[in-house]
Amino acid sequence: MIKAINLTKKFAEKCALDNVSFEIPEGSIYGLVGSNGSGKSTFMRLISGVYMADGGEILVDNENPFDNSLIKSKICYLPDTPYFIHQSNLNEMMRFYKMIYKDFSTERFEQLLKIFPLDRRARISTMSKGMQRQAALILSISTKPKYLLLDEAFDGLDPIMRKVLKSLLAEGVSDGMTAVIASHNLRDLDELCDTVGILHNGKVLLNDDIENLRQGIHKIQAVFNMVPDISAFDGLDIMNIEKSGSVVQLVARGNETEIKEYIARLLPQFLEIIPPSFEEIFMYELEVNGYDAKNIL
Amino acid sequence: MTQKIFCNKFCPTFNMLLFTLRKNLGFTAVATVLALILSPFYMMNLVENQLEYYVTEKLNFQEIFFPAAIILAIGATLFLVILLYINFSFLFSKSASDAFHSMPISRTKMLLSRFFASYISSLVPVIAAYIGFVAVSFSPSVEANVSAIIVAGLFTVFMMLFCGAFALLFIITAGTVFDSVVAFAALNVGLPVIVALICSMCEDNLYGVASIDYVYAWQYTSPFTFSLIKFLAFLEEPLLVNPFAWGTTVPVILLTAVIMIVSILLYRRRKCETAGTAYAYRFVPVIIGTVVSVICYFILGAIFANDRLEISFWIPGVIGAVLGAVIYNIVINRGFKNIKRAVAPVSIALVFIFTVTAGISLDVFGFEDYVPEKSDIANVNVNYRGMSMNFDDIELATDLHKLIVRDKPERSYRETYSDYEYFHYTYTLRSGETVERRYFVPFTFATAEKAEIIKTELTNELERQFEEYGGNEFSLDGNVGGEYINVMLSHAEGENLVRSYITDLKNADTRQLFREEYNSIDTLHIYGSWANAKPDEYDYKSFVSYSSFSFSFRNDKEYVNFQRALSEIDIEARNRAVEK
Repeated sequence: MIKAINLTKKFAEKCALDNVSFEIPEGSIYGLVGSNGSGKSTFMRLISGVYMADGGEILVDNENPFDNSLIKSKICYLPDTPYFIHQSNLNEMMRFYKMIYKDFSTERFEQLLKIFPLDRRARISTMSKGMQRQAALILSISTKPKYLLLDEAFDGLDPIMRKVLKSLLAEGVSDGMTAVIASHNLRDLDELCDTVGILHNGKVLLNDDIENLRQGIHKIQAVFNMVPDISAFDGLDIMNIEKSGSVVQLVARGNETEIKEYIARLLPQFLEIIPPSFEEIFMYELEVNGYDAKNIL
Repeated sequence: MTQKIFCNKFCPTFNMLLFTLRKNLGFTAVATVLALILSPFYMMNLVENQLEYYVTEKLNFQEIFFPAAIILAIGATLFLVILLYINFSFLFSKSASDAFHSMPISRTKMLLSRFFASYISSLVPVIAAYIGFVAVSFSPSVEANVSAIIVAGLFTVFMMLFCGAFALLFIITAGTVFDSVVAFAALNVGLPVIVALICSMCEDNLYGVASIDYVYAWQYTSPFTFSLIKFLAFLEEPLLVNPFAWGTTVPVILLTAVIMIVSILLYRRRKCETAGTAYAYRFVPVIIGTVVSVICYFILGAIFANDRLEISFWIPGVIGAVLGAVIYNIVINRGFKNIKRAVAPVSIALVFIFTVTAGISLDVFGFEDYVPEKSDIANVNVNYRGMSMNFDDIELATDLHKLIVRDKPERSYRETYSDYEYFHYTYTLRSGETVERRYFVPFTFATAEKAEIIKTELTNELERQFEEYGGNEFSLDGNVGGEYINVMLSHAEGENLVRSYITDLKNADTRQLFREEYNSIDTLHIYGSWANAKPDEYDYKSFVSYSSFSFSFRNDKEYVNFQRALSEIDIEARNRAVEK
């Protein structure tokens, strides 16, 4: 299990992570999302032992991963900009990884090479961005880590390869792996992740099972003959409300039945509750915290 | 590649070492080829050329080995430093830093594996070259001390470890290669410069400074200078100098260990987010900025004040210090951002400079007034006007020294006088230490007390030398009235001259000993020539150096006995005869 307890990380004057606490359960696929500069990559580097926390604790299997070779042997971190040895090809990188990671599986490597159509003898530096990411994924997955940390995992991958990656990750999790994926591609995370966390300005806005999140937030569309005033909806925990003619579209937190009954009292002509997508949940949560395109523009 | 070693245990650290060695192979191969070209191929070629040039059958190998060994040592150390930069380049790139620091290798082991891989790779060309040296030394055309060659090789690899550890500090504490090199150059060049500047200030401002051994002072400014100077000393006298003496070896081993431990501790705390920034630790730009600031202070101060500790030194110096720190700050920040951070190094530099200059001005260590205790002195030699006086009576020597120190001129006056007497004291203490002092005593500070001591010792010295002299003849040479004199004297004539001189000396007063009029045109020297000099002995001994007293023998009637003795020898006639 990965546990953050009052975790703080600062860079000069800027606080990248501010007293963050949450857990990532074992054997799950955890999606880490957030606005730009929210601290996702910082958090990944803290888990992987690259960064040293300035306050609080980060624990992996109840131990601090910083400068801890035993814990780090269970982790494989793939950053947003993968590193390859200068002028190396996949074969050479494979040999390098095999020297460093005890559980590196050559069989798995060969299997993945059949799935991802890369030339193992070609210099990785000559490959496209997407192919380089595929190469990095092959190497990372082949280390058979207990914890696989992927920063911007889907970046550069075409839709087919994204689907392939999702299958591989699901397969890995079923073998006991825990995957932590930081990404802006919320649709892919929606399909893949069991648990998600939303970061904004170094703080955790949300950390929950994705199904619980969906059940806790509802998108409601209602049509009125006479559209009531906004204040009529004050009894609900509104995240977002929009009026367009006689149609009111709102996003609210709470129990679905209670929300339905409340709006029904306002006598709509038509009422529909639509489950929000993860992307919508993300946008509404950030909007509540002032991070909104309207505010920026 | 095999990953399992020692009882089938997987060891990523060892694998990292092997990986790094393999990565260095190309560079190592090139360096080894270059080393082999130097030795044995170039050495063999040199041996042949030297034998032909000097038309000899055997060559002293030491003569050609000396420069080659130095070139090899410098080249190999440079190669090691380059390899360290290459193998630790992951510290300077964010993506590489992420990759290496997320690997299951502790930072201590990562540092040690990369360091020793660099060190081992750099040893290969050294070993190859020294095998070549030894092979050439076995040639029948060469006379060589093989054990000295082997010792030189061992010393080279020993010092490479020391220098490599020191260079590692600059790599660990920097965020980019450029800033690391700037810090490296600033400290390794800057410190010797500062030491030289302070020594120069001492020479110019402290009364009694003999000569400062800059080489001795520089050797302690960095492992690189220390290694080079020790190595040079050994190569010059391989039979006399032991480079592995306890006094050298133990401190070097301890220092190397300390530096490695400090490097490990710094690396373990190094923040990966500093990759790509100038420095990983905030104290580094303060230290380097201070060094730059101090140097710029002295440069500007020296330009305007010529090392004199006065207002024309302070003000330009302060401007220099500020400018130096600001320029350095601009370089490392690539602009004017954080210019305020120049305040710290400037402040430290000014405190340091004021402390040093105040210390020199006020002579806080009591250098100028120091006269060794009589009980501590084994022997003392005073060089006075070219005469070397070995005082039998040590108390007499220290009494004279105390008089000189008592009457030392004011600092402001020291730059003004050009007529002086020169005294050079060399004490050998019972501890083996040597203390030297050199004084320019103005004629105006001549006293009867000093004159008596000088007179007493000069006469003692002359009498002693003459008694010890086992030669038969004397020669008289010099320059009189523009005419070069060189005549041989019989033993009786020489003895008469010297004894007459001694008699006059005993009667000389203060004014005669300390002359204001300096006439260097006419000079006479009396030398004793040993007819049957033993091997390795000088075949002459200098008795009287007449020019020391600097007056024309034709005109000065005061050394009456000497004048009379001279007149009995028709010098001009004899000289003409010699010329014919």
